[in-house]
This record gives sequence, structure tokens and C-alpha cells, in this order.
Amino acid sequence: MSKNDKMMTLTHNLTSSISSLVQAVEIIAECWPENRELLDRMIPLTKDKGADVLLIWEELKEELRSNEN
Amino acid sequence: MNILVIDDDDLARINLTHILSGIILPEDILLETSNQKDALNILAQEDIELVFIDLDLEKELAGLEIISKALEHDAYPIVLSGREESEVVEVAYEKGCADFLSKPLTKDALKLVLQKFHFSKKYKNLKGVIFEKYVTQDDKIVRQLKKIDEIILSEMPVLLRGPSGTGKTQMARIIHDAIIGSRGEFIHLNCAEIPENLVESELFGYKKGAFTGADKDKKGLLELANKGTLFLDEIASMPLTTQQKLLLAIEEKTFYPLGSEKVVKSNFRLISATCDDIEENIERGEFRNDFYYRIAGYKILLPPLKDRPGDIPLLIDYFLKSGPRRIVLNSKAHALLEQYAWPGNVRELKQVIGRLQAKSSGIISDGDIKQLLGVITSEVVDSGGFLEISYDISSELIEQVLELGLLKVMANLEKVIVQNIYETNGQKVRTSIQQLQISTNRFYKIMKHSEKQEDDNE
Repeated sequence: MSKNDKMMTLTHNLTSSISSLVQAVEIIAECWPENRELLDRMIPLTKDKGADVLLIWEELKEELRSNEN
Repeated sequence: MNILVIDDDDLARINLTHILSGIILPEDILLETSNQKDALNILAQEDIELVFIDLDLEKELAGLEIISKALEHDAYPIVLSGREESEVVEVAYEKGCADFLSKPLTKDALKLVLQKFHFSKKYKNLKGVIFEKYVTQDDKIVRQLKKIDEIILSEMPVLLRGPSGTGKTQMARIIHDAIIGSRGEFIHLNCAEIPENLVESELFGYKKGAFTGADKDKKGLLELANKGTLFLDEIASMPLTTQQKLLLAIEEKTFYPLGSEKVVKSNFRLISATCDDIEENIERGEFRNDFYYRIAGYKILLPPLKDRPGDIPLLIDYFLKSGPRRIVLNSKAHALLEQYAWPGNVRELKQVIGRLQAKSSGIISDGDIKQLLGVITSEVVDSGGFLEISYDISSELIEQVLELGLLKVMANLEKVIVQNIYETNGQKVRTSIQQLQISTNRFYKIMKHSEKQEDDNE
């Protein structure tokens, strides 16, 4: 995979994950606190997605640094 | 209906199914899976009608393979992706996906997708629908009507153009039925039929006491058209000040009824129609440029019948079959109807067939047609679809032309004819305009000119 392709993939993954996270937070706020079943499914996934976002962001920063060098 | 959502991102999949569950029918069943193998099994075993496919599953672009499988099982495939590369989008469409949508999907976007799906399910053959409801074989019209898919997916207004009698109101109804159906009202206003000073109160409504005669609150057409269609016929007749106010209402989806300080929200689909040359009106300062561009999101041109002679026999057959009484035309009668120029377009043709169906004899001859078309004393010559009619010109008229010049006499003749038709019709503007087959602006120009002359004489 070329540097450019890797950057594109990382950017795509980051944007897609953040969008998904934002949408999930909106749904959680909308369903809070009545829909317990849905909340129990979504909250752990939201935490995982948050962690994913941070990981991708770190990877993207690394890629940017290596490109500068 | 069974709907399948395929996405390996658990959170994205739950988001989508949650939003979908809020807009589908209670009897619809939502199925979900995170991988290609299960997806193919479900497609093979369940009767899936609509499938949302994430493009990147266990491996990149695995979703592309599911598109063709979905089509094999008669499912309607919609691809979801965060990818924007045009080559990927192109491949997905080549594989047969109905839509390619960017993630994450909003509720509004999903509602539009479902509308389009239901429309395509209802009308698998769009050309067939057009033949069924708007009788034509004209490729130009059929090509334009294929835009209905786009019109459904966007909220852009539609502008129907074409001479009087070409079926603009009918087309507005077809679009309304396709997009809105029974979920909202079809509100029709002919802007040429109501006086300029009443247009605003009709459109926006008013509060009690807003003006003399406003003895109770009245809802405007904009409010009544909420969730439905507002059809503004003869839009070129709309006063400039109303155009400005309506422009704001279209953009903001809100407005103030006359005399009210309380804003009213209305989400309506705007369809306008005109037989005028609006560009010319803009140049003359009679129509707002910004308003025109706002209302003309999709332009559909319905040409006059003389420009699509192939439709005439189709329409003759259609109207002959639509009445309760069956009649037969002899070949000369049929030929005369096909050769006639139909200046009043489809409306005139429909009226003529209706009158023929009311005749006592069930066999219609060319003589009946000539009598009906009022051309018995005229010499009818086929000249490329137009009639050449000879007149008895009086010597008095010739003398007037020699004295005053042709243009002045013609202008006077025009004024006399327009006034005569207007009075004969009990001062009904729309009927007069239809009979005269002139634009609304032209009508008012002639009438204003004659009023001015009367004032000058007084």
C-alpha cells in the first residue's frame, strides 16, 4: 500500500468512526433512560468505538510525522 | 417486508437498524448480520426485499459481491460506505446497486431511500407508468420524466412548462401521487384566477382583523399543503411582492400569516407551471430572477401536440376507449383528426372526442369532424400539421388598413377579439386565456392597453 493510500484509508476510517460515534451518542441521548435493552447494547460499543478513534488518530499522527521526515 | 442490514461495524449497524425501526411499518421485519457468509445465507433463505450493504466487510469491498447476489434474489440493494473514490462508486453502480449512500445515514436520507424503493417497487417500468397516466410516446417527454427518480430523492421544486392544454396539471398530479401519495394534500392555486391583492392572503392565510373583511382566522394554502404538494399554476401571473415573500417561505419552510406575529412551519413540495416565457418576463422586470431559479429546480417541458404528432393517434384511441359509449370513426374522420393542428392541445382533443361520443350516431364521418372543428367554410389544407384558413375580408377593413396601417388595425382587432371573448365568458380570465391560447401576460397587456385607451377617451 502506498503512503498516499494508507493516509487515505486512515482518514476514511477516522471520519467514518467519528460519524458513527456521534450518531450513537445522539441515539443514546434520545433513548435515555427508557430503552435499557438498546442502551446496554450500545454503551459498551460506544466505548470501544471511542478507543478505536483514539488508536486511528495516533496512527494517523505517526503517518503524518513520517511523511514530514 | 423483510429488510436486511449488513455491516461488520456493530455500532454503525445498531445505529442504522434503530433509525430504520422508527420509520418502517410495524409489520416490516428487520434482520441484521455482520458478515458476508451469513448475509448470503439470509438472502437465499428469507424473502428479502430491501438490503443495506456495507461495502467493506471482513475484507475490503466484499460488499460488491453481495450486490449481484441480492439482485438474483430480487432484493433492492443499497450500498453504504464512507468511501468517496469515484471508481468504487462506479463499480457499485455497474454491479447494479440502486443507491450509493455515505455513512452515517440520517433519518431524512433513509426516509427518501424508502420512498424511492416503494416508488420503484410500485412502478418497475417507469415508461409504462407514463403511458398509463400521461399518454405519450414522445421520447423527449419520456426522457424528462425519467427524472422522477431524482425528483423523489431531492426536495427541489419542479417547474412544468408548456402551452395551455398540454397536461401540466395532470403531470403535477402524477408527480404528487408518485412522491407524496395519500400522505399529504395536493393544493392547487391558479395564480391568474385570483386578483393580485388576494394572492397573498390565499397563500399565507390571515388573522382575524388583519384587513377589512378578515372577520375570522383563515389558514393559507402554504399551511394546508404541509407534508403535501403546493401546485401553483400560471405562476408567471404572481405579483413581484408575493414572489419575494414566497421565496423566503420556500427557503425557510416558515412564514407569517397576514396580521400574525406567530411563525407557521410548513414542509411542502412546490410544483409550479407556466405557459409563459419566464426568461422574457425576467428581462422585462416582471418576474424575479432569484425566484425563478428557486422554483425551477427541475424543469419539465411538455411540448404542444403539433410538435409530437405521433401522440395524436395514441390520444385519439385513449380518449375513445375512456368514455362509457363506444363509437367508430371512419378513416377520413380519423385522418382529419390526425391532421388538425390542435391549438388547444390535449384538452381540446379530449373535448372533441367527448362531444363526438355524445353524438346520436355511433359512426363518425369526416363531415361530423369538420362541423365540430368549425372549419366547414374554411379551406382545410394539410401544411405540415397547420391549418390554412381563408377569411372573407371586408372592403371596410382594407380601407382601415390603408388609412391607419396594418399594425394599428391588427392591434385594434386583437383588442376587440380579446374583449369580446372576455365578456362572452362572463369576464372569466382563465377560460378566456385558454380559448384565446395566449399567455396570461399577453392577455393582461392587451386588456390594460384597452383600459388605457378607454381612460384616454374619457
